[in-house]
Amino acid sequence: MTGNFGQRIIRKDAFDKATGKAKYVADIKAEDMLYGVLVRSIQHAAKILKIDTAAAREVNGVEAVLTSADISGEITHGALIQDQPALAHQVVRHIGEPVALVIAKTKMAAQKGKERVKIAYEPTEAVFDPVEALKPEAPKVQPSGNLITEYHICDGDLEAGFSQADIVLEDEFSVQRISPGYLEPEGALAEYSQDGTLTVWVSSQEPFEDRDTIARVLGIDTGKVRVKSAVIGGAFGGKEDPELQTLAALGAWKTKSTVQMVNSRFESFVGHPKRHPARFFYKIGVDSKTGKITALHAMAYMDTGAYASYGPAVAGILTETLAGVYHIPNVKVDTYVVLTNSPLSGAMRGFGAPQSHFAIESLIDIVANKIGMDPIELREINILKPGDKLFTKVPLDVTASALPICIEKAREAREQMKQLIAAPGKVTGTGVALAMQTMGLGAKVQDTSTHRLEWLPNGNVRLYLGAPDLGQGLAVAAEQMAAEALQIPYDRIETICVDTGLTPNGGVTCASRMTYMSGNAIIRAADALQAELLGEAARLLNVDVNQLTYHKGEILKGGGAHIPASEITSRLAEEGRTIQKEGSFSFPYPKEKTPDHLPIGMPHVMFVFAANIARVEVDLALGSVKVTHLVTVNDVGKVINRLGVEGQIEGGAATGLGYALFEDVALKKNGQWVDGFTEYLIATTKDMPELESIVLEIPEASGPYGAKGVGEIVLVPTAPAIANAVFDATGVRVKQLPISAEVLLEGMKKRQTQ
Amino acid sequence: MLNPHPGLPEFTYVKPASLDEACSFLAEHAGEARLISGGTDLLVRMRDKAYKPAYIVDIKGLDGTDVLTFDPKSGLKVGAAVPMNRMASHPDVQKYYPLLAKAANSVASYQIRNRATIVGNICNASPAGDTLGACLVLGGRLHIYGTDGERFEDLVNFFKGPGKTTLRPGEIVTAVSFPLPEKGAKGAYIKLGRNKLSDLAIVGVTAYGFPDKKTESGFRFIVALASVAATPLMPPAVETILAEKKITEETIAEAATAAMDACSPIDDVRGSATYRKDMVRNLTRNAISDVWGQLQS
Repeated sequence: MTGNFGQRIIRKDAFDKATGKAKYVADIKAEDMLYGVLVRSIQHAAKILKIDTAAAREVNGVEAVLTSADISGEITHGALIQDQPALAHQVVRHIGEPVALVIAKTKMAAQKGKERVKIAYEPTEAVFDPVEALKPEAPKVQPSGNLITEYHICDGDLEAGFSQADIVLEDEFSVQRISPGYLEPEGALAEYSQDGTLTVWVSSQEPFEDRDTIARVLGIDTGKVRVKSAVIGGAFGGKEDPELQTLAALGAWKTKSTVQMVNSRFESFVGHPKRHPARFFYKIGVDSKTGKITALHAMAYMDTGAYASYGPAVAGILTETLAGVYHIPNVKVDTYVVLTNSPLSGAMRGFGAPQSHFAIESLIDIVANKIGMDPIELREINILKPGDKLFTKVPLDVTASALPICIEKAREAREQMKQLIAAPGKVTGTGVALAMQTMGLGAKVQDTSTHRLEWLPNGNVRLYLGAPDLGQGLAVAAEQMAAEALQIPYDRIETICVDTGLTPNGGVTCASRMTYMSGNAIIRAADALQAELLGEAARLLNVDVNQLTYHKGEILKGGGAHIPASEITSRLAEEGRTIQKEGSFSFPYPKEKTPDHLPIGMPHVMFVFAANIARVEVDLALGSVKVTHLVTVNDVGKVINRLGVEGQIEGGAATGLGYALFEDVALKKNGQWVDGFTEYLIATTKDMPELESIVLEIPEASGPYGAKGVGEIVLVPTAPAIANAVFDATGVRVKQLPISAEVLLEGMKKRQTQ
Repeated sequence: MLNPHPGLPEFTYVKPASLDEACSFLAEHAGEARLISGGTDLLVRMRDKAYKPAYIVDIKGLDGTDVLTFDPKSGLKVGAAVPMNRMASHPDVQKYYPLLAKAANSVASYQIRNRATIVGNICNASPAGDTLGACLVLGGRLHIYGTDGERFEDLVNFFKGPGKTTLRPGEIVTAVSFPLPEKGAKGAYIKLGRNKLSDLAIVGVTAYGFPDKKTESGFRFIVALASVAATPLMPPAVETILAEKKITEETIAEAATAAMDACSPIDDVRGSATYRKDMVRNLTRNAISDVWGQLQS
């Protein structure tokens, strides 16, 4: 195999990144470049009475101070609902909202200018809890009210289902707001050209969407905006927001210059989308003799912050996964997406599934404990099987056969973990969680990915990758698949990363699907490229095309002659022509798999499955939790680059562990958010457990070489597995994340006195 | 969030040629100049606008501030510009002052410790300072240089409140020195953070003990607590209990409770005051037990 699938391929960008040569947005410098900095709201909610920019404009070096009044196009934008002002208009709705943009010759002048912008606010009442925000007396974040989306899905007969149960439990769970915490904060650089066009370098998951947003806000034609991907230092969903690229473009357009903007870490915390906090209210019915779950009712309240961002779409996946990986005959789910005065939440790795899985996977363990059954056995009895339908009426195909394997691996791993003895002063426990993650943007959402291949005169093939590599290694996987499709060595492929002026539109890199999408598109492009090559060869060699065949980068002619492709492409180059072909792939929603009773963006019809098995040690005196071992089982369809897959699994485990134990963008008693790494903790190398990764390869029929997506699923079961292990160790069920030592110790004390 | 608009404020960088020059500059610009050595706290506070010095005065390399010396008779002297990693990896420090090395290695992350200094940690006078307890129980003494020449101050007298010390305008701490440790002394530092690396101490407990014929118990113990009061705390009651009573599990528990009763922590994002007090008791018990175990082996 020329694509070297399954091997550990070192990425071509690794050396540049390790040695500091890679150019992130902040590293790009242009002559006479200006710097843009934002004056952000210091109020949770307020009317803007006045913005006085006069003193700021007088600062030496300040070129412009822009406010909402300077926007000539549309003053709001938004991925799904156009409710987010590029610069605050009349009111501010959260701390960190951009109000004014100062552009200056030096960072220092911009900083000084920023300090001299005077904004008169009249603070108004703010609300921070999604359940509170739905009460009639709650302050309205938007005039139209705080409820922006609600989903209600029913399957079966809920009442009948509960009446079949001899045990009915009700419980509540909550999850916190977390930050993507990527190494590279958001940034953008926009360059104005004399011909009246803009070129914008971005650190973004969606350069083509950015182009359209920029054009809309500036009120200009999209043809005047070219967006290019810089090297990206992590995204995790957080870079599906156009804030800085739009504002840098606005600054460049107004000053007819080049403007660079880079968020500080503080700005990244308060100004950029995070994972939605949510509250869950569950009711579950079970037949305690058989262990069959007969009915489930789940209500979820998601806090999307001050603007919708991707909230309604996140709610879609959250809703579809509220019942987990279980076949429950009677289900009702109700999801509410609510505006509050919190910093906005939006897309983040897992996109709703980590939240719902913490709730449902904790609940399954609670049920098991209540009826005195092994939690793995209870799962085994209730898991979905190929042919079963989800409560959305989406049928599962053979890929669901990953679940029984997950169960089997979980049993084995738990058995091994149980052999280990706790350290002195500590108690130990094991926990299991299963999970599923959807792939794709959801039914009825346009989702086509186009990429292009060009055979160069030197024999190399250039891949015009239409979607950004976020740092996860998309480019290397795409190159491997291109090499495989053309049967040429992997190192003969060179990649140009997304540039709206040069590459086709590959779509947004998100939703666990860009390896899948780009691979399928590349296979099609490679087929077309081979046909084109043969056609041109036939013309140049003056033979009938049927006499030629393509084999491993060469053209075979009868009689044993083989001509390298480069001979054809170099002769074409002399004619001033090139061979290049695009391939497009649209995410499939087959009719038989796609019920149409659900709102736009639902349902999702392709799934990846996983299990996590965690062993923890809890310090009896301190309440602190150490995850000592973690076994992960993930079905990826087909491993393209093993290093990439392992990187995703290990990184995902770290994110899941941080979600479980440390991370929380909380509102502090002083009215400020946790907004820096001094207080906001992520899992460090020393917090990481001994990690074992079991990778399953159950091929996805529609996938390129069988591949699915691994980007998100990896973190989904981690937090509930840890929570379940903590319960096993201590008997304390913590129903809110993060599981703090203090809360756990409190719980342990209570248990002792009972 | 102290500062809604982060970014370093404007300042002038000053690199004096000698300690005398540095002192006179500091004296002339009292209140508007700050020293920089590692800068790992200073720059963060400047970014947050907690400090807005007009001048920062670099003392790295001045008149022996980057020197670490050890003498088997007189002990250890660590210059103000010696990075923590250099100190903690020094063979004599590891051999004679393992507690100091351990405390230093618990500060932030390795990268930070490449720049951060132990004298800087002391002069910041943060109640959460990880090395302060070790420096206190080891009998640290500061070498302070001022316009009137050099003076010495025992560390126990140095801290006056969060960020407050006895330093006068124009004075520079050039080094901290430690006598040879007591014969047979053992130490422990236990830091409770939310994660295993990089968090500030929710509570930090340093315990130090050695055989002492003058006490009833035959041992002397000193305990220093971090993050539980306005300054690092060395509760005398703990010392008394462990000196007067035979060391048993019960005595250690009693001493631990005395430590808890002596402190007055605050609530913050890392933990509530109640939790902190509980943790002082539990960690003190663990730290003393650890030292006691070492003393017996």
